[in-house]
Amino acid sequence: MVTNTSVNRSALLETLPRLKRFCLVLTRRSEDADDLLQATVERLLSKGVPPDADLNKWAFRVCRNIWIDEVRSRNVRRATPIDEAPEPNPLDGECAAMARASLTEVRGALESLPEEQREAICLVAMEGYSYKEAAEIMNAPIGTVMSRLSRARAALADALADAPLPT
Amino acid sequence: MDDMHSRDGKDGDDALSAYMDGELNADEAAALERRLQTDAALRARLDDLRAVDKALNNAFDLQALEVPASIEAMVAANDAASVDGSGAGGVVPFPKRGRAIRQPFVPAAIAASVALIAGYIAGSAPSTPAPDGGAANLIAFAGPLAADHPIAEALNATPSGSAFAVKGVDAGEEVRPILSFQATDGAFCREFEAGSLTTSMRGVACREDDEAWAVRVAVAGGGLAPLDAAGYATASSADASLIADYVDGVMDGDPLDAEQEAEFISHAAGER
Repeated sequence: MVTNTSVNRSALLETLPRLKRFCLVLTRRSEDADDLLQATVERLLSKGVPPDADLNKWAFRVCRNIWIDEVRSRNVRRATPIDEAPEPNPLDGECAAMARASLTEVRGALESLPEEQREAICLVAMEGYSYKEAAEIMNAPIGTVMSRLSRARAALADALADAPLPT
Repeated sequence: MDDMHSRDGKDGDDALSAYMDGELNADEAAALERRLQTDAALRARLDDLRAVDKALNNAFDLQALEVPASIEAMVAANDAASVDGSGAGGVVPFPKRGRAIRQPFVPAAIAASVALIAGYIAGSAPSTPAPDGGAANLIAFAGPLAADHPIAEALNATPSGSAFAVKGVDAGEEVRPILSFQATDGAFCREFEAGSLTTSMRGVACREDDEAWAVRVAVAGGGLAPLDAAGYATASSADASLIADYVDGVMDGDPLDAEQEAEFISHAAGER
C-alpha cells in the first residue's frame, strides 16, 4: 500500500510525453490515451510515489494498472487507428524495407498486436527498459517479457516486410 | 534461455531480439555472433528486427507527441487542490473514485431491494449498517459460497471479461468476472458482477488455498450492462467505484494479467 508522499513534479512533467506514448500504445486512440494519461497523473499526484521507487517506472506501473483495472472495463477499446500521427521524419539512407514503411503502416501493424506484446515492445524498444525493469512494470516473469517482445518484433518485421515502398 | 545454440524461427528470433537488447550473457552473445558471421539469413533477420525498432521510434516520435496543456498544468500546479482536475478543459475526467476504503467494511445490512443478492449468498448474516452511513448501498458479506454456488462456479472457471450463464432456478442470470488479483492477506480474489439486466451486484470474492470462495464485499447495482462484441461492459458509475476503491485498498501489487489468471483458473479446475 502506498502512503502519501510527495511527487517530484518537474520529473513527472518531463516524463509526460513518455507516459503519453505508453497510453497511446495501450489504448490505440488519442482521446483514450489522454483520458488514461489524466487518470494516471491524478493517481500519482493524489497517492504519491514511494520514496524508494523510481518515478518513471512507478508511473508506468500505475498507468498500466489503471488501464487494466478501470479503463478497459469502461469499454474504451475501439479498433480505430491511432489518430495522432506525427509528421513523417526523413529517414536516413541505410534503411531496411521495414524502416521505409510509412508511419501509418507501422502504427497499424503495432495496433494489430495483442496488448501484452504492444506493452512489451513499447517498454523495451521505445522506452529502453531492461527486461528486468519491464518485467517489474508488467508484473510478469522476465522470460515472458522476452518472448512477448520477440513475438512482437517478429510479427512487425513480417507484417512490414511486404509493405509497399513509397514511390 | 538454455537452448540458445540451435534453433531457427521463433527461437532464433528470441535470441536475436535478446541480443539486440543486450540481454544475452557473454557466452550466448559470443555464440550468436559466431553464427552471424557465417549465416547470411540470420544477419538479414537481425537487420529486419532492428529496423522494426527504428520504425517504431519514428512512428512514435516523442517530439511529436502532444500532452494536453490541462494535464501539464495539473502537474505544474503547486497546490494539491488543483489535482481534482475538474477545471481541466477539453479532457473528459475519469469518474472519481469516491471515498477511500482501506479496510474491509463492517458487514452491513442487506437492503431489502436486493433479495436476489441475499439469495446468492448462502448463510450470509444480516448485521448492522455501515458505520459511516455514507455508503448506504454497500453491502458486505462474511459468508462463504457453497462450492456449487453459481458465483463460485463462475469464479473457478470463467476468465475476466467473459460471462458465465447461470443454470437452474436463476437461469437467465449471468456472473461476469471482471478482474483478478492477489490480496495483501495472500488470498486470491476476483472482482465480479452478477445478476440480470435489471438487478445486479458487483463485488469481490476471495479464496485462500483450498478454502471456499467467500464474498468479502458487494454492492447492489441497477442491472448488468449489455456486453459489447469484445466482451466488455460499461461499468456502472458509483457502484463500480466503491468496489474499485475496495480493490485498491486490498490489492497486493498489480492485477493479474490474462496468463496468470488462466493459470489460476486451470489450477482451480483441476482441484475439483
